[in-house]
Amino acid sequence: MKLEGSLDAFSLPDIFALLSMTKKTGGLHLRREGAHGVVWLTTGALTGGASDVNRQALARRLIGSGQLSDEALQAAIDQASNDDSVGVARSVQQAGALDEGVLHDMVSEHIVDTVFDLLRWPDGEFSFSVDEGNPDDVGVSRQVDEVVTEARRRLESWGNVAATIPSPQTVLSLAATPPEDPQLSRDEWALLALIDGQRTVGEVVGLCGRGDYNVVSALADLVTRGLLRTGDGEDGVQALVRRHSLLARLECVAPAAPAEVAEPVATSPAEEPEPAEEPVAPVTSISAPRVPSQPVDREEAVTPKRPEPFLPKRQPEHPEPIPAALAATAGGAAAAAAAPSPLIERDPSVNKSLLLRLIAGVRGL
Amino acid sequence: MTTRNRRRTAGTAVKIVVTGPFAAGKTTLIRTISEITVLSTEKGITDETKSRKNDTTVAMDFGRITIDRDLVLYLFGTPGQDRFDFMWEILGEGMLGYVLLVDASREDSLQEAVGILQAFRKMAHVPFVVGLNRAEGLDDGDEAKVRAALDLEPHVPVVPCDATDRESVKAVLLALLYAVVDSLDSATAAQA
Repeated sequence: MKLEGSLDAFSLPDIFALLSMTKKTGGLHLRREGAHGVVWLTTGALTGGASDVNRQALARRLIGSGQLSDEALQAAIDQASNDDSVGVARSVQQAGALDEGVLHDMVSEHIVDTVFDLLRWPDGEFSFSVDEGNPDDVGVSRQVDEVVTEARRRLESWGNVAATIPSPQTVLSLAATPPEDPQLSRDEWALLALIDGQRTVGEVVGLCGRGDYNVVSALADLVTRGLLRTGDGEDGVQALVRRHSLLARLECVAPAAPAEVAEPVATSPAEEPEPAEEPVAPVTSISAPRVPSQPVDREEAVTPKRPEPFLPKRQPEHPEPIPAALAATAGGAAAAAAAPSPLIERDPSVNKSLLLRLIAGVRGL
Repeated sequence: MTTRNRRRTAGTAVKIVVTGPFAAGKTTLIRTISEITVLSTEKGITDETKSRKNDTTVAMDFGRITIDRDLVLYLFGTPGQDRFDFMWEILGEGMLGYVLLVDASREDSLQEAVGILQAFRKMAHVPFVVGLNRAEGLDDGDEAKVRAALDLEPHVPVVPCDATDRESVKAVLLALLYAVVDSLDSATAAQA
């Protein structure tokens, strides 16, 4: 027996609902042109996944936490390379290389990120492989309805985020003159440290390992607060350099070498060091700009312009926020295991108001 | 397995199970009313029952009715052949109630329904209705015969229906929902 079909006819929340209600264990694979994602379930609850099976998103998240030593990371990668049934996260767990609570939090967040990413797929095919194991099952399980609800909440706010940062190819730069004294959290500072005027948002997301939503939302917030600027137009440093260059003909100073901003060449995320090792971006240290011999060519602005949009926010044909009541169903799994063969009773959360709504709804069909 | 729950407000999904004998029309009933392409796990029939139809549901049918933005009704159809009865309890968990669909035109369907209803009654204390599919020409006497065969209490609705007709299927679902309301009222009164 196979469970497979098209996301056009059967949406991801519906599939989740089905798998949750029937307490399935296995891997739900989603494929579309050039992309392959997977979500693993155990007795109907989500235990992990990846929106791109070709990338080690969870391992990147562990790296991004800055709490995993090089030795532990290398050992985990070695084990995962030699044993397909064990992923980096589980290997890290088995080695006790990361605090269990921290690991669980990261896996839990990763599950939501994965579902959020997959919900943005406008189309695709799905297939469910019964009993396929999750190589990174570290003992975390999230109820389907909670995860879908959270992912949907993120989708709703994603429109605002995408309006500020329209594409993963967007390049951000530091604002030379922020509107007020910046106040930053450590996470925000870590993000700023990765902004170099060349690295794309997608690359920053990859380096942080914290998932599209968290990173892009935080970057959008920094843009809104005037600490970062998107690529269009001259950035603050360029403007400063240009204005200083106006003084050149009054100053008898040998022209300096062309301003070669000390920014690293954009590299693939895989080649990048951990964020903690990045030099901190000089937010307020632009005190002695070198004067270029010629005015800066505005056309060669550091920031490329190409607001290629993110994948459009998915608008499910059915706006229902799925399975809250399934919590009772799926949540009963543990209880069912503890107390064999309980008699099925009426769900206590069902009340008359709900029933009257159902009746009105069915009448109106 | 550690579970780290982060409760947030979510919508509500409720479940109704459609059960009944082999070839009673369960898949058809769900397809008639579901707003999505019903996911049916069907296989070709190879045994002696092939004379009745070519395919049968082996795990479940799955349909959906969106009532409101935050309220969804799911319909689960059970496999008709009793060798798949291990699915019944899985599908029944958390259900609001169930529809026992019987092919009124076949005597053996009613006989099969007796065993299924006994199993469901043993498994679940939730309201149910009996849908009599292909019930053209039935009279009160026939309904009484069904009631007797299934040993139904007077309050259990028996609804003649046509699984291919949307209004007819709506009537069956409404009968079940009203039965659930009545059950709720009775429980409330008993507590008071």
